[in-house]
Amino acid sequence: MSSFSVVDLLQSSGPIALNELVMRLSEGPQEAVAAIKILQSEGMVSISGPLAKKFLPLKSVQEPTAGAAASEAFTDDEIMRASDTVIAPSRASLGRMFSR
Amino acid sequence: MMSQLSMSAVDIPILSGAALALLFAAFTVLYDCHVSIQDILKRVPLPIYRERPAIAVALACGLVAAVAFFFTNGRGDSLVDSVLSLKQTNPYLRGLSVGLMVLVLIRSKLSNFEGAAIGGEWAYNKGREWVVESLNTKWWAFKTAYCNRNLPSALASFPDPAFETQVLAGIQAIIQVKPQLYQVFVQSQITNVVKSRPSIPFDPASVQWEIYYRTLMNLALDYAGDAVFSGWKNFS
Repeated sequence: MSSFSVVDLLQSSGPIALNELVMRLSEGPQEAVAAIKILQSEGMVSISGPLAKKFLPLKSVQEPTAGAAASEAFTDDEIMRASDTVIAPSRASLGRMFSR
Repeated sequence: MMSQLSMSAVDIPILSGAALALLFAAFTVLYDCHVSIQDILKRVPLPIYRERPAIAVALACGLVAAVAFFFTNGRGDSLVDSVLSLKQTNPYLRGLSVGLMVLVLIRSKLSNFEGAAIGGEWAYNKGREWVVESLNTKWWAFKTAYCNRNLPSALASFPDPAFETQVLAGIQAIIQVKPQLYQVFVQSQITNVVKSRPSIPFDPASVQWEIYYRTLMNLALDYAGDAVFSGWKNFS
């Protein structure tokens, strides 16, 4: 599923837990997380919850050592248990929809 | 006393016209918000007319209509008058016309600056974003509370009646009256979720099964609403 479909899903469902989002997509957990990271870098989604920090790019994390750890890939198990990490469509993504 | 009466007689149709413009503009905006938001959310989950941001946006546009009404006289001697009043000299009909047409003014190039993303259209889009954000926040809170309240009953219902089978049948029954694209969109999500069904034997205490049931419940709420669960034993 393309990243556009991730946005489409998010816009249609509203905020959604990371593990539920991954289950609703046809991609595997790692591919889905990679797509979400791209969308976050484009400002299309906002992420909150315990795993939100791990989505941040390395340069924006304060301590280099912590940053290295945070930039490591998520494990599948970690993703599938992430009920309290919430992915939501950003205002920018809603704005783009209305501007079409 | 006589002069006061004659003043009231003059003002009442004008004020009523302005009030009509405000009311009809507010209704038009609520309807437009509902339709445009439905394009994004597929299924507007909550009554939009109860949302404070939606009411605020509708009233703001209503006020624009009421103010614009005072710039019309039905003779069509200005652009705003021609566009909004449709040359209606009757103040009540003019109020109705201004109310129904004010979105055209707000979203037209007249209230934007050389195509830049500022002006009436920009403000209107910001208002709609605000409404969607508010709906999303409330919808998230509703779904979380609904699942927390009913998930134990769903898990306890296994295997008879099978929660999974009933939910999927319920979603499909409700979405079959929706447009084809909507059905395909939801069906593809159902297929993906079912593929993630835990391979371990059912255990109500298992986190995997809880996540799977929660995902099914939220999927049903998102695209078919809580009607899927109406009449279910132990569901509230």
